[in-house]
Amino acid sequence: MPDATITTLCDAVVTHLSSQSLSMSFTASRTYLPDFEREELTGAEVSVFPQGTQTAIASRDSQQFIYTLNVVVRVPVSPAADPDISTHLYFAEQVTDALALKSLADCSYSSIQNEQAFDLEALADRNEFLSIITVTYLTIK
Amino acid sequence: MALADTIAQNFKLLQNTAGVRITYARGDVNITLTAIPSDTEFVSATGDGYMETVEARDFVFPASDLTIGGQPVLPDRGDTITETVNGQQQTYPVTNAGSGRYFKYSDPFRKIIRVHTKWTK
Repeated sequence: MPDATITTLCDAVVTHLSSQSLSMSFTASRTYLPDFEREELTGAEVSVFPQGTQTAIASRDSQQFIYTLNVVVRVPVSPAADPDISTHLYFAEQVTDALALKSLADCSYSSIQNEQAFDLEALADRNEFLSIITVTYLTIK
Repeated sequence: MALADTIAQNFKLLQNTAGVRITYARGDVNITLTAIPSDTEFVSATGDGYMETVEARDFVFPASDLTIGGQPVLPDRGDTITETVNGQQQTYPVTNAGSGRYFKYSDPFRKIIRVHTKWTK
């Protein structure tokens, strides 16, 4: 049975990110259940999971599909009174840059968004840098 | 005897019978003290489409035991508590408990403090 397009896209994002040489060594994986355990986080991790699909009429006999994926960047932060996450922010920016303008799995790149640079609660409560990058792709079928 | 002294004395008894040795660290300074570990909880957090759990553990000890450089101090962000569990050392950074500060007083006289930590490695 073939994979859903959004699954193929998630896998393509994982493969593309894994081929990148970024400022932190990291592991990238696709997950359907982003249920993390903080104590298991020992290095940079990038998790890709599908968020949703939007469909609209493109022409009389074709539809436009917009696929939305979430890319979660998680990096442990050393306990400190005023933690420095400069390198973590740069790493998240590199992940964003690696995906920007890159069409994957026969879908065109559409947009990328990192609405909140990092999750303040994760940093304060769990000594963790957590940033969610939302990337969208579109195709016409 | 004042109630505050009674609380402190009774806690000392508890400390002697059920306490564990912990290392409290702030920067390069370490002190060893005896604390009562409280229940371990797994605290859940949810964000935009993800879930995460973390092990939270509180340590209770007399406020007067926490001195650094001879001066009494209060727990703060960046401090760590190291406990030996089943022969393994586990270090818990001091963190707030969701909302509030990094510790709270366990009695009305500020004799006993409960320090909030989470095991984040």
